[in-house]
Amino acid sequence: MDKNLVTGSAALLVLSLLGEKDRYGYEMIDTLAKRSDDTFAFKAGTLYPMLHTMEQQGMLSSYERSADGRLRKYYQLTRKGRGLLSEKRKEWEAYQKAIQRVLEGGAGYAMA
Amino acid sequence: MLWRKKAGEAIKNAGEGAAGEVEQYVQSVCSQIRFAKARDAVAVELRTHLEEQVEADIKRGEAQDEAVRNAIRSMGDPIAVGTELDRTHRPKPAWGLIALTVLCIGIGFFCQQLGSEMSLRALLSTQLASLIVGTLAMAGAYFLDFTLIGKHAGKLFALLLLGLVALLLISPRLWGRSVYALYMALLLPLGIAGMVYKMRGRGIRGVLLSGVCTVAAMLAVSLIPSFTSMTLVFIVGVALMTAAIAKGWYGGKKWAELLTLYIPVVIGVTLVAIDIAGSEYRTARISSTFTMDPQLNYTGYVSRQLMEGAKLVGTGSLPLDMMHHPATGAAIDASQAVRLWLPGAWTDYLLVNVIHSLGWLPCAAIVGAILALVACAYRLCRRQKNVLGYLVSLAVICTFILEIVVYLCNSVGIHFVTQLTLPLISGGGWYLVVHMALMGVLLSTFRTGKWVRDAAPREEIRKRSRIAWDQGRLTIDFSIRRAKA
Repeated sequence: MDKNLVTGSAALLVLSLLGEKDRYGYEMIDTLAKRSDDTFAFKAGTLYPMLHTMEQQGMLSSYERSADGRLRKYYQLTRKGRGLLSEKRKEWEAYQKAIQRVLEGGAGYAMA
Repeated sequence: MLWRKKAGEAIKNAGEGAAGEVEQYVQSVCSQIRFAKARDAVAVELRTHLEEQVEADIKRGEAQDEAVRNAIRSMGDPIAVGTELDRTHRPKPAWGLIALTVLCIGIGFFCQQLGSEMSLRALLSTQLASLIVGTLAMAGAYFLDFTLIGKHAGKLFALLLLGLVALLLISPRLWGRSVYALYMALLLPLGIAGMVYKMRGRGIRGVLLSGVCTVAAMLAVSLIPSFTSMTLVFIVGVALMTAAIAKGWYGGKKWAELLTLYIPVVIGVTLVAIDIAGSEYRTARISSTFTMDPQLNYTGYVSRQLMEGAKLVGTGSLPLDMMHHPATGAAIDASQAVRLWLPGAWTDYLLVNVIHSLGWLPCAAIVGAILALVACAYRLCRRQKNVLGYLVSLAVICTFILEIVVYLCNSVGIHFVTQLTLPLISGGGWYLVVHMALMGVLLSTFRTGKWVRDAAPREEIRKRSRIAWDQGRLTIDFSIRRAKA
């Protein structure tokens, strides 16, 4: 998979995962890999700086819970974060439609 | 740099084996993060991630060494990751609050000069030493680790109390009050905040002990003697304890803790009220507030006169009798009149002078500036996630609010509580230094509070059940205290 395609939508992926429920870092990477059938092998070293930056900007908030003898840091969307998620979703849908239109439109001219 | 050396040592000492490799990696990443407090939080998160990854891979059948190497590789280059994290974890100063502090100090000098005979230059030269010491105190408090207030709460509180008592003995007295001890009294709320923090998770016992600390502080302050400062310490202490109860930090049943706090408070206040009602001096002070008799409430009388003649903007008119010198009766200039008739036109009654000389709107703007500072601070305080940062910043904010209320009351002639200063604006000298130091502490909690993690072992322990069943073994531990819902 072209790297550029992945990094552009990285924020959208992370936000949408958190939109479903509160998650911790490893859980996000694991879920992404499983759902995308390993297409998205998100590097943890990319994920954590992104999560921390989003928290600084007020998109996410975090809390700690201990589970299995470990202290996990869970992230959740703030109201601002939910706004950003819906914005990014709309962007993605518009982008998808535009690409689809170009691809389909091409078929009409191909046999000219 | 020291922290890089420490990280290097940690890597060397990390030892052999899987745990050692993980630790080495985490330390490599964290060595790139310049801000020390953030390093610990990040290290825990990365370590947990790697451990879970390795465990999952081992469950899938990978060998331990292979799993560790894969986990570390999938994280990425430690230096690159660390540099990214360093970029996000930089302490951000609360610029808005700093700007408001500087503004209020500037306003203060302007208003003080307005009410005094000195030129601005002369005033600044007398206040220069306080300004320098104040700035140093503020900077010192700002860069100091405020968590020390929590870590050494007991020692700090004892030190403040002993310091107060020592000052009572050596300080000069003005109108019967020990001057330096009054400044010290403003620092006591910090000590109380530290003690309330220390009492977390101790339930009703914690509330009682916090109460004992507040009462001890009140008694020390009452020796100054200052009923007003004692009331300030009392209100701040009760506010801190109420906040701690409301947020569940004492860890017990909230209604029981509230009763433990407020029953003695109500009894105490009632007793004090009875005592006041029985004291001729105090009742006279209260009633004279409302009569505005110039003999009993001189400053209230003068304030009222000046306010009645004041304009919205611009210099107000003076009553006829103020156009003559109070002692000689000779005719005087309007500009001299206020300074001669209103004592403390540049200190205690600074606002009254502003109302007369500049008008109601400028006065409202000045009060607005200090209120904006308090509001900005409160907004930042509410965002604090850690207990100590919240309590310490709340203590400073409450102190400022009470001082402002008392000052405004006095300015309109309600003088049965003795004048305190308008923070940063009316007090010069040591008052300015103390208030700047308090602002430094406040800003410090906002600077690093984000990365401070409260140790919550008491809460965790209290949630454990006495009876546990694990792998065919029943354990009953009577030493664990059951948390009541």
